[in-house]
Amino acid sequence: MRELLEAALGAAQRGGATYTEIRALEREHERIQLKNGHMDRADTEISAGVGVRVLVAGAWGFAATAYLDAAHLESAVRLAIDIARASAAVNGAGLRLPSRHAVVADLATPFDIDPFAVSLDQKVQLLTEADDIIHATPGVKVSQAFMDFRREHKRLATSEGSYIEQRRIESGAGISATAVGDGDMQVRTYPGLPTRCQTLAAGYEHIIALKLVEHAADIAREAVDLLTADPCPAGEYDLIIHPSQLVHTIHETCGHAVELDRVLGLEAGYAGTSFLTLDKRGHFRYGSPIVNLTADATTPRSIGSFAYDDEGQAGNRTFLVRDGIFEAYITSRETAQQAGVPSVPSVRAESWEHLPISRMTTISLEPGDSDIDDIIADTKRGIWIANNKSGSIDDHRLNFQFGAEIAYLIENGRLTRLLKNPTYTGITPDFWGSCDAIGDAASWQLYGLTMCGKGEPQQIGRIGHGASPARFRNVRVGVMKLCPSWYTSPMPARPSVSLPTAYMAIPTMCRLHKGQSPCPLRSTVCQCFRTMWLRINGCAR
Amino acid sequence: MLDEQQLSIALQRALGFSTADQTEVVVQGEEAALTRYANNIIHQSVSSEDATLSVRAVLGQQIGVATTNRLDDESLRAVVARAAEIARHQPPNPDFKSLPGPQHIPKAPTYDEATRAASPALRAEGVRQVIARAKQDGLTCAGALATSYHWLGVANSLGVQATHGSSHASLTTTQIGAFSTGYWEAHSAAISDIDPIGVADHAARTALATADQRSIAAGEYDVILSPLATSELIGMLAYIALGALDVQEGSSLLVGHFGEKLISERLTLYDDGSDRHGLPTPFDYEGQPKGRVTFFEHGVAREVVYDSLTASKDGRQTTGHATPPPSEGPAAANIFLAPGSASEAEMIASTKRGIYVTRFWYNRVVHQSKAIVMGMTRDGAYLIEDGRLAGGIKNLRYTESLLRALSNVQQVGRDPLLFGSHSTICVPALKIAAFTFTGRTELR
Repeated sequence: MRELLEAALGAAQRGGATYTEIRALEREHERIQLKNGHMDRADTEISAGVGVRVLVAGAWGFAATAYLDAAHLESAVRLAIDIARASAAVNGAGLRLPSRHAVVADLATPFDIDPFAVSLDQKVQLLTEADDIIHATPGVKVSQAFMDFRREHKRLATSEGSYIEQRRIESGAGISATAVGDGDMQVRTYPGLPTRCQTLAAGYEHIIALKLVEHAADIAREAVDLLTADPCPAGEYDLIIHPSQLVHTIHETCGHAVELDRVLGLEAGYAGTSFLTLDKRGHFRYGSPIVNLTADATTPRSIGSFAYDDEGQAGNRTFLVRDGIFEAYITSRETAQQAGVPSVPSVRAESWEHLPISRMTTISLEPGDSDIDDIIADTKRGIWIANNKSGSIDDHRLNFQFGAEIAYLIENGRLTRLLKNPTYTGITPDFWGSCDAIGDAASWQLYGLTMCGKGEPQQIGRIGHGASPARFRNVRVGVMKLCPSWYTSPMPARPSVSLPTAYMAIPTMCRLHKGQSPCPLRSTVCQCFRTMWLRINGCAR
Repeated sequence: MLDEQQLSIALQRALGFSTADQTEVVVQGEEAALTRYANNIIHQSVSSEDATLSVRAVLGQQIGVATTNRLDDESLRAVVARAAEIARHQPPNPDFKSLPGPQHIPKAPTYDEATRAASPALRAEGVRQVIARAKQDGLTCAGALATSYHWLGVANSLGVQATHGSSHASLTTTQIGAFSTGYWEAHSAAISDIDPIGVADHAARTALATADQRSIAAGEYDVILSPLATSELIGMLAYIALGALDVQEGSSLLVGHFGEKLISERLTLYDDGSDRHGLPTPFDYEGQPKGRVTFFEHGVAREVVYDSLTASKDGRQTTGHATPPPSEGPAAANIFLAPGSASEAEMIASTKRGIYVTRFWYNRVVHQSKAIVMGMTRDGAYLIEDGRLAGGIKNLRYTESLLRALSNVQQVGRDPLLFGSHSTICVPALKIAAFTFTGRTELR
């Protein structure tokens, strides 16, 4: 394969390319989905191909082919060059990339149990046990259980002499209960993502650790209870947001807002731009002084992490927001150079046939120093909210609105009643500016989002996010004007309730701290970063 | 270039390799090219070709699906074996009766050779014209000009044999001024139907006319939705309510309401894969002909779309709306809203105070069974005062019930436009009373 790719590099250079990168990818994807006690979907998909990106006369060209032979690859190189020349004719003066050191490496993500070596019977049995519990719960209309596994082998060859091989295993699973009654429908999921599976760069040990069966009864009961729960009230409340919900807010209000390609207008025709314009870097108050947000491509087991991105740049850890001040963007080689800002490598393509573009890595809210029980006890009139159900944000990443599966009213420091259809809305810097308490490292949880759309043709990115629970003061909630009576209906007092165990912590322990969930050191000092990638051989030069 | 003969051979060979009780093979080939521009230059331009082959193997009521993009005999044997292996290791699906049998497939002319053969230089020339229009008024622009060719082949062991090739071209543009933006897009099976200057001009005029933007309070307003904005609301309705699986699982707002008037009598909404005002599609991903399905007839809920699995559960025939394997239920794919008689100018003239919406953005479902949705205005929201467009407004967030909005339709436009590629929506403008905006974008 290496000879094939290097021959294509030579052909590109002879065709006038001043820079070329060729990325070959082989991927296998297995999905299993049970619904109402029977198999709803079971499939595997194998995909392989090569993408060629060239810089010719200062313009980019990209062509991809599924055929892994010399003739098709040379044809793709010629097409990429033709594309670049056609663009250059429109553009005039073009781009030049600064030279860079070559990297040669061969790496793989670690795992304990290869999910592709686990039998389908064993996977189906686990899902069936969880699905049966949900399905047997009176009031549940639809029970579902999911697993999702990917393995891939990516090779990147560049005209600068880099040759990087990366192998990767990802595993995910989740369960869902849908209750229907009296014209209402309520959904509960575990671990709680609209993308169904909680996916990590890990093996089948992650699936076992999720304990799907143990959580099935809780979510089924909650889905049914939500049918008769009070609707979320409307007004301004203090909001305590669980990581299963907060990571989506981070994704939309921070992750996309710090993409430098958006800031520079390169996504204006589709996903939009960002309010975090270049003049704001280094001094704009994005959040309160306790807010620290990072882009960390070295976070262990995150599907947003990588050793080298699709431009061959090593992943790093960077503060995007430090002590509440906006500090950095995520970048590509081109955008970092254009804007004159530090490089925060982030470029990945969905697959071989896609152009590499800037994507979020692992974008996280760093832990604070508060105990979650203390935060609740310290809240006089508030709402505790979890498990994202929907979200929307404007094309500048300012005006957002999110809906969640479940909430509890907080009165005088106690959770007092279950609430359904919770929503909250705000303006990004106002919202983060109202953050006055963040849970400690013990409450920090890592999630994998597998459905982030960006680019044209649209690409689906896989992103990591971590957060501890956090409190935000005076947030507008209850904007779903489903029934005007919601705004005035009296709600009788009820005794205090406890959170289900699912919210205490989902297992995201790292390899070095197996058995202690979550990793007690997962703050900024965890040495597990070192084991994110197993170096098979090779060196950086 | 894809070799359709090779794809047809792969389709038949995979079917021949299977020893399952029933087998279905679906081959999808695509050549896709897209030239993307921003800041008045082409910054991304791509081309790709791929073909995937999916096998659905049936053993009794056990079903397995496997997909590959390797089409040599060894890979075909492997994907067939993998589908059967998956089927063998799973519980039966009691709703499954049989794969569908062969039906007569009508012709659907949606292929244009020039679109398939469009060169990078041709796309670049289209973009150059868009950029030139932007520069006329000191604007910058961003968007994409795309061309594609899609080949679909479906065969099964009961005798289904169907193939179809279609082309598609589209142009999107956002024209950007100092304080405002305008957007427009166009779609067709033929690139020669796309008028880059006309599309750019539409967007540029919006950007210029909304340059001075007022901030208005959230609340209820009469709205006039452009055909594009209408398509976004109708698309969400189709996504959450108009498939048989949504009804069978109780999540569709139509459950228990068939035969009732749920929305304005001014609205007739249907799906028709043979209507030449859209991009005709002769058959679905099970090789079944696409029938006409009427969702709402003068506001009265009538029916939803089916694939073979949901149809067998309800004891009826598929309507030809299966989605690509592995399917997660049928979906409307050629949606039409019957036009009315009003021009957009007449709608505006009849509005004392309201908002004209060019497009919505980031539309999401807040509550599925009640069809509560939310989103933002984007790229050209106008205030209407005393029957005329009175300049731009800052973007607003809406949170609204689709049923309530579609019940409050006061006028239906006379000029439908087509949006989409594989799935299309052809709709006119709508005037809706008391549409609910719940927030506005403002950086303090």
